[in-house]
Amino acid sequence: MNEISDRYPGLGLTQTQHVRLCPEGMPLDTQVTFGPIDVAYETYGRLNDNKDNAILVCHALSGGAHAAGWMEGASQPGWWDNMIGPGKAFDTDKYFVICANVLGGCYGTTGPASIDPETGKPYGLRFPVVTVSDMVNVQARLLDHLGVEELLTVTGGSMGGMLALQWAVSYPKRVRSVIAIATTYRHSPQQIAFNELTRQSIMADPGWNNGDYYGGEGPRLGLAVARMTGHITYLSDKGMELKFGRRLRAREKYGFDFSKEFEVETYLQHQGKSFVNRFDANSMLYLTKALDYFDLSDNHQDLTEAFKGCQDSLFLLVAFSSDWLYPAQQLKDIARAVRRAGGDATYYEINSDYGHDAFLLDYEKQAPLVQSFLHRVATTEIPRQPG
Amino acid sequence: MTKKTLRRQEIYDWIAERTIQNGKVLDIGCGDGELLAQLVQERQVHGTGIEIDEDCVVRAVQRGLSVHHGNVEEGLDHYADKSFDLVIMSLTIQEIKDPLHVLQETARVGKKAIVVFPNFAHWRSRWQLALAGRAPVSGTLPHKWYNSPNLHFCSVLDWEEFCRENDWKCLDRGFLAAGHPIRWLPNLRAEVAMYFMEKQ
Repeated sequence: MNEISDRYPGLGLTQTQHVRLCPEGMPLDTQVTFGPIDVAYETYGRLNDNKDNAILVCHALSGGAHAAGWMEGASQPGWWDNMIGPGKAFDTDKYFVICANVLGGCYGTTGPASIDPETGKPYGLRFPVVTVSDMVNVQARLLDHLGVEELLTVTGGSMGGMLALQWAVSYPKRVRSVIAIATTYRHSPQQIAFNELTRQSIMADPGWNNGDYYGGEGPRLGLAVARMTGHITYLSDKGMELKFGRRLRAREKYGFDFSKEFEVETYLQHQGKSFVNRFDANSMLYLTKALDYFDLSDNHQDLTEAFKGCQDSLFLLVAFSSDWLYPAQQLKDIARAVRRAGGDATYYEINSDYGHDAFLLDYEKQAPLVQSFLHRVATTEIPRQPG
Repeated sequence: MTKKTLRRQEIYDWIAERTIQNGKVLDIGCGDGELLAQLVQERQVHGTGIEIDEDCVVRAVQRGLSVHHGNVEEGLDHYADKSFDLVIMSLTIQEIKDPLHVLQETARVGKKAIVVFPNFAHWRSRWQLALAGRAPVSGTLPHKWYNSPNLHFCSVLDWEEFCRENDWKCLDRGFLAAGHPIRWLPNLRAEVAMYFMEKQ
């Protein structure tokens, strides 16, 4: 017993669970009905008798359901383990934490690499285009399945933050609060541009073969380059200066050739290569497209109107000073819209050199804030509208 | 030079007495949220703050408050007309870049306002400037000229004139020196002036 808790501190070993939802299919934003949908999810802690301590954690672009704790033999815990666990910001002694892989992902929830029951082969490009709102609708079905009607909070960073915000707008009655970190209410042209670079890198690789590469090598190079692009946007100029400088790797002097010699090159290539072994290229296409379609003000007069239904939800919006992928201004715009709509938002900008990556790295600054905010949410009485 | 530090509790109590029960209150430059926390406890208000200092924001959130981390102009723009029953500026206005604009915005987002400021015409300041020939340093103005966050200096008389010229009706006023109420000759004797106002 002690051996396990020494080797796997925090939550110890955790298990991903699977459930098949929407057997008759679920209507998507594109008017297509799609199903069945398998969902991979993990839960930590215990749902209390009042069923009012549930927290939904939404992962970022390359994340999955394994948010915290350890897989057998793993060298790293889940992606947000420093925030989730006994005594941590999302305290699993108090709260029931749920994390599910999104629709279109490649970590256990139905996505383009899943087997199409009609053909017995992977969907590939036959997989329907999905939106952030579709992903949230699937998560809502998962909560129905788990017997969770209302969320104490829904949270996430980056793409996860977009899902959290979408939750508030799609299901205001089910969301008591939102913690959205390093995110946006709509993808800007610059964000779309980087995603297009990601997609073109993948699709330009002959190994992509119109998305029909399962069983073969696939667009390994394209996906690796795509990931390199991503990683540049996750760092900051100053952060790169501090982390790599102009240092050379395994060399004293310039080689005057095209081998990787700067440390930053080695870093990016390593990130690219290791990503290929853990992520599906088609999923990358579908997820980046979903982000590009994301605009909470769609179907509303403006963003303020989108948040009109969320007056009873409390918002905590966290930005990072050096995040240029999802700049602080976008979170300020969200705070403004929530407030102008008559809602309650706390906006906090953390001074950090880590760029967008700060949302995973600067947890020491986020944790006390999240803890206090959750305490406030749990102790705030909700003004229930009559009827 | 006085060593007396400013006593905030008397200011807070004066504000709390004029704060409507269960109201919505905005504190501009809320610091670590000490005043708002008192108003939440005593008046059960829904308290919101604007604060630029990162550490102060964290402490205010830890007190269970809703806060905007940023500058005042931006923070005020986030709110719709008449969102608050009361907007408070407690020892903030002298540090704001554009007080006129902020007061106009205060009138837009708030139904009533309380402004507390250090009285620059206090006799000790006058003494230091007129006789000693030095820029005033005191409990309410504790900084040297080179490190002071204070950008604007105004006196009780200046403030009254401003209110008249800008259609702010004074609902109540109070003056303090060393934490004690001052009733006569406030422009000479008050270290701190407190105004409860409404825009007409």
